[in-house]
Amino acid sequence: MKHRGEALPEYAELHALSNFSFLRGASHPAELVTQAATLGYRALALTDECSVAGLVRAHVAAKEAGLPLIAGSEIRLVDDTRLVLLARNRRGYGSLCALITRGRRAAEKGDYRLTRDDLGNGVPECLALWLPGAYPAHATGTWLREVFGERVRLATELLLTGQDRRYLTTLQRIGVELDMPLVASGDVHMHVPERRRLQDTLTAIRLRRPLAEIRGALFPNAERHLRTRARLARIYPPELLRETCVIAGQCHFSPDELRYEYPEEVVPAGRQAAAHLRALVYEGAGRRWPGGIKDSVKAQIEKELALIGELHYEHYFLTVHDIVRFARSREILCQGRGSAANSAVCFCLGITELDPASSNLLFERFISRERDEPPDIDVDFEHERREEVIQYLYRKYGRERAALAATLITYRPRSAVRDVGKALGLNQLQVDRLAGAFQWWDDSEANAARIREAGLDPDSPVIRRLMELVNTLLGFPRHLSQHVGGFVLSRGPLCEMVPVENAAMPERTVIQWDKDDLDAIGLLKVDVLALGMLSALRRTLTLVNRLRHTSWTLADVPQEDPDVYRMIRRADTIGVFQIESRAQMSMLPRLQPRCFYDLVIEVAIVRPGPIQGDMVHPYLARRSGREPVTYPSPEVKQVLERTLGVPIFQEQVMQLAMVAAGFTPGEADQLRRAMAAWRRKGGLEPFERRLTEGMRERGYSDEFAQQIFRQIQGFGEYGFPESHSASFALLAYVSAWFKCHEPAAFTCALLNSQPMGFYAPAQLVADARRHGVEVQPVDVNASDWECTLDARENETQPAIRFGLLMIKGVSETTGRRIVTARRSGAFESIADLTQRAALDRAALQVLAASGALSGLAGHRRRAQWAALGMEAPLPLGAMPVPEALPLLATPGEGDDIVADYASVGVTLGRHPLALLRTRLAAQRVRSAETLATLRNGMPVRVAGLVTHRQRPGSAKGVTFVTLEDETGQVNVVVWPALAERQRNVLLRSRLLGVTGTVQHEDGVLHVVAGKLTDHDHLLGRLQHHSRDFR
Amino acid sequence: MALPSSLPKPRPLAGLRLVAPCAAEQESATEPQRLWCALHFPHLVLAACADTKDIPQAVIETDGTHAQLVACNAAAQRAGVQPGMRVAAALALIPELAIHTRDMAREAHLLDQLAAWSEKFTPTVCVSSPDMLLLEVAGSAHLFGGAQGLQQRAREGLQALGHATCVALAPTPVAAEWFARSGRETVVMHAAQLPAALGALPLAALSWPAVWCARFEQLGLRTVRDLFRLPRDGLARRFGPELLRTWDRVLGNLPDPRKPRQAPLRFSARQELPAETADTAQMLPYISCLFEALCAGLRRHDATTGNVVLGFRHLKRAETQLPLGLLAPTRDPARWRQLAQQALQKRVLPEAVTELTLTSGAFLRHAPPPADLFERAGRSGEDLAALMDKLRARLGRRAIARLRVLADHRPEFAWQGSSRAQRSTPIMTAPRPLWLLEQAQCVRVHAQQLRLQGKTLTLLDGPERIESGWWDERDLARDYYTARSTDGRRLWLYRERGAGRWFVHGLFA
Repeated sequence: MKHRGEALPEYAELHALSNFSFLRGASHPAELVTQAATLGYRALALTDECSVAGLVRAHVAAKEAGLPLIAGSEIRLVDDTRLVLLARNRRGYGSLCALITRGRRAAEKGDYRLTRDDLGNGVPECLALWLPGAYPAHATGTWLREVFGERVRLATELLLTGQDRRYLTTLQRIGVELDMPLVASGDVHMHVPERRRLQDTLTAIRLRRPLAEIRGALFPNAERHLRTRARLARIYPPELLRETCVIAGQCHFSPDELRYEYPEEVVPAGRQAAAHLRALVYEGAGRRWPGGIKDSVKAQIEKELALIGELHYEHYFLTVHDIVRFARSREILCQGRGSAANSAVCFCLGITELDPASSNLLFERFISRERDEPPDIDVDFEHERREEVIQYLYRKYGRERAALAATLITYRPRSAVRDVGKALGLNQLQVDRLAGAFQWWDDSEANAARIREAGLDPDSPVIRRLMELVNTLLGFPRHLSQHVGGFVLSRGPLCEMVPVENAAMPERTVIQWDKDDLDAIGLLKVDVLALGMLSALRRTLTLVNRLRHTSWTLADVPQEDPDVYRMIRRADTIGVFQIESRAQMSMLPRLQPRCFYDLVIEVAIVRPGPIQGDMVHPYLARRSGREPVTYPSPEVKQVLERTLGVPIFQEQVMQLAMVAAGFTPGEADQLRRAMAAWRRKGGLEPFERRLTEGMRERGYSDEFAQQIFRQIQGFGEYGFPESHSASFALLAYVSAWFKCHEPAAFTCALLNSQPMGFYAPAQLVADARRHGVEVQPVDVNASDWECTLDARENETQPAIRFGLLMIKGVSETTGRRIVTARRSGAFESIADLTQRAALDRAALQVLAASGALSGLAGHRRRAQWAALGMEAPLPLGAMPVPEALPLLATPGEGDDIVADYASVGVTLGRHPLALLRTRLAAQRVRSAETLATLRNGMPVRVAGLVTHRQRPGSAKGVTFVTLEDETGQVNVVVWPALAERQRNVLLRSRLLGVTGTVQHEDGVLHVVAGKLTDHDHLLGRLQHHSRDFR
Repeated sequence: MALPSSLPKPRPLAGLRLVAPCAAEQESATEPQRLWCALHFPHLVLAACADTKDIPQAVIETDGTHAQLVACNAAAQRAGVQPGMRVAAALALIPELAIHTRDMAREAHLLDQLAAWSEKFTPTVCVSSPDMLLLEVAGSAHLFGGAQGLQQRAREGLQALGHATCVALAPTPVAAEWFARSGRETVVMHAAQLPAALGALPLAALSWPAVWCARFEQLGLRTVRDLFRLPRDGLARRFGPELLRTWDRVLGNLPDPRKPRQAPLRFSARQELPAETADTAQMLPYISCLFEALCAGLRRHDATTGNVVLGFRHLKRAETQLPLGLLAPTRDPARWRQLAQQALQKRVLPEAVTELTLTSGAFLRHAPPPADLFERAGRSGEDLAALMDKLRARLGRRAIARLRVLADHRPEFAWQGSSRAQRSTPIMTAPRPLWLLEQAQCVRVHAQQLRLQGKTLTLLDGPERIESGWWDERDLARDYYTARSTDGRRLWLYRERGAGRWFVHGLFA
């Protein structure tokens, strides 16, 4: 029997869960919306359980599909009363958010707790649907009727249980008794019935048991999908369907109504925001250019202020300024980055140090008027002190008005394989193996070979099912986590705009929306991020100022110093921000940076985006003059001139789309978003067509269009904006300056800021010593808690004295207690130390192992013996038992090296390889420093401690290994075939030997491996760890 | 450096009473010299669960979240896998690695078998650690060609059984263990030679607490000699008295008594019949006697047992055996007798019987059910178990099953026959028919009417849609209805979704 179109009843689904009801809903919000629109529903309510986390995504899709969306939420009270709340208007949405916040804040992360008392206020302006369950409790209905009055309906969910007719009769009777109208709803968990398998699987994952064990807990059928109106007409009485539309008609709220209301306190009372901002900017300009402001700069400032005024962004800049001002007042180093950060306004406000007057950067992307996109400023703070800034924000705005944005943790191949595998009943080992098959190939699909290698049959039904389910599950939200530092601040209570819930960290709260959601509805956030290099630079400044009796800030570092660029061109950049990694280092001699803008390019070019988009080689060829620099048109020249005709920055791609293919700014922005997501979701094809056609119309060759599109694809989510690059390049330059001119202070600061950066302390110290910096070991009678500098006579560079923080296992309180105790005089013996610093035996042992007691007790083993014999804390005045000296063998050089590595992570003795050099030389193994003398293609043997293993996604399976010997580092390239053949040696060796050939290219030296040899037996008990695959 | 005479003698500390050294010396002078043979099985963990194939194999131990390798075979070691590794790391090296979970019970069982085998050398066999046996062989070594002869016999014998073993002999148990664990097949006959022989052993090879090992390492102590030449009082302060006690035990200065292994308890008895008979009824009083004796023995050891074998000896034939088993172990002679009686009712003995035997299974610890303060009349659980035992004894083991309701939406998987009582909660559904057909019957559709065996069916209620079971290859998608046929029977029908065919699946009462 078929219904004709006009006979179909109108229907609005009022109870639908998306996959933001984690591990319950089996469809994305957008899928529900699109399907509801396809089925001709009047409206759809997204009612995720105690959450509106999926609302923005649904809203975006609903706008596109032209479907009215209702904001709501399903709630289960602690007494098991269940209901759905729907927001009638902005106020209703506010009270719903407040209720969700209340429930979430009252429970652990990921959970919520609500009682009847919490609904005491009747949740103003919300409608309620009572979900009565199989056995409706009359009393509950009466209570709901009292609380909600006319605003409650009895949700009637007929899901083909075989009891539907009887159930409907029961509900109708109750409805009459309570005077509560019935309304149809569908308890929707998926947009189409085909998601049943996934929904069952999610249930199993939620219950943490295999499907076979929880069969009864599954839904008996797939009825919880968006049913066709024809089906609904057969199941429900017409008045129940009609009622859905009546309710939908009463709900008007749209997330578009949420306008950001900035905090007021950033503007002094009685002052206009615009005037205040202008005053601050010119005050700052006066500081920046004491000699007077150039006209061009002044024009720039005026242009920016006008734009800010037009878009009403004054409060935003004032808010960021306030945060930065606070940090400055506490001497916390910080730097802004992001498109808006590179403005003259930000420079004047002290948010960034990039002088717009002296750099050739273009700032047109500062804020886009056409796109009406909120400005973007991220502020990096010293990583150890960011918490102070966060606490300041909480203090200033209160918990009600400040919260972190969420980060949506979604299913990745490995986690999906793991969870689905367990649900399908694979045992732990099979799951581990299968997940292991995805180890390095996270972004590619596991192919049959990988599965076979994991010992499973790719054609078996279980594995086929698994792969199919995993494919659908990928990208499903798993839980909300906290964003690294995106703060949302508001004028009124935040919880009436978006629910706030507890984060895993104590004292932290997050909102239910992530960065993209905030973006999509134009809410502003301030990114308060942590950067280790800023901690290191602050320490460097302090050390240098004390040493040279100066009072420098970052702004005082001399610009464009040729010595610094010479050092950078030699790739002598261990410890320098951003350009220290192996990939960066191998690019430096090719790129030959000579000025600041070269560093901006350097930072952006060694990224997966430009590498995969094949932009690196054309750029290098053009820069070195091997290839002519040409532009297909003057417009393109304008966009690409500063990068020699090769697009390197994200902004350039967007500008190209505009000038060469006629994209509007809005379309270009959509392209940017699509670029970020295509690897996960696809969806670039429409842009490809639009781009090629647009370019053809404007007379560009198809070849050029294709090339641009390929580059866009390659960019993907890794595209790096020029504005970020510029801010990073500044820190790279400053850190390089210090490395070049103040290596001791710089290394000392890096050691005190660990863990950070690409290299471990051992490499940093070895590098400093190669540059002639003297380093002294830990000593309880000389070391402070942090590493310190000791001025040396007749030397410009001071010596570094290791601090007690270098010793593994010494807590900061213990370390500082020792330093404090020493103020009253040097320690005379271990007993003296134990007593005055109130040390326990464990602390003594750790100190003994590090060699810090050598001055008091002789060699490490004697110190250890003495430490073990100490029964601490000694009662005052008690005499230690006199003991004879034990017969302990003096440790050999090798023993000391081993102990140094184990306790301090660095040895000041010879490098372990130095001890083995004669033996290695007998096997014709060369040292790192002699490699430079070899010609390209010559066979060679090298060996060294493995310090890094890397397999970048952009390198097509190539593994890069860094070896270290007593003379320096060797970069080894291992092709996939060899890696596969000698996987064991490659992954396990600590001391690796490589037989291969030398490869010289543009001053970069690699050894291409032909054979790997494990030399671990030569190392004995040396503890040394490589930093792998980070 | 050699130790023998320079070793400091243990001194009694003030205020502490220790075994006087002179007393120990006297003891060793008067007591017969002992000789301990240690058998170390380094591959026992592997032997307990892996097979002998030369494919990479490893044994793991898990704490619920992390799995760690505790042993692996030579093929795995060749590829770089080592004990102590994480499983993920091992799999990264050998994706096809065969992995077994450690089976401590089986190890203990294997070691017990090896202990039983070793009893041919001496009655004093001690299980000293999960992979070590200690044999006291001072009195018996001469029977096997002296210490060396015994060592060789043990090694070869165990090799023939497929066990790699290290065999060492020494006058003290700890010394023998140390040699064996270090992989040295040393034979030391006199305590005076021990210090020199032990001195070279690497400390790392012996089983010390992990904390001590770390300290040895930090102090640069590599061998037993390094340790022994440190001052005793200094060591005591740093390692506690236990280290000194071990020191004294290994050198024989402190007694080190070991408890020999004992075979598990079983009951075994015979009862001669006054006259040869094939009439089981006449045997019953004697059978009763045997059970009384069994249960008295069980009570004495506070034990109970769940199975026995009743034997009937004939003059000319091999013994007829009647195994009896209970679901709930008991030491109530009446229960056993009853059981035997029922089992004998169906049984015809092949020949007249002269003697009865009764052998029990292993003794189990007696765990009485928690006593109820207000004991209710008719302990239904126990009565049911007794009834089931009775029925089983009469009808055979597999004839009796309980019906168990399973939580599954698919009707044919919602119940199961099971031998044991298990709790399960059925899911709430629409009413189910009392009788489910083993095979659903096709219902014909004729002129838009459902017809079964010539009767027209009228749908009463439904549909109940069931879509479930995709994960185990028996996915079904059906709409169930109740129906009445013209003869008044109520039926349970379903229609296959997709194909649209109708079936009758059950009958209501």
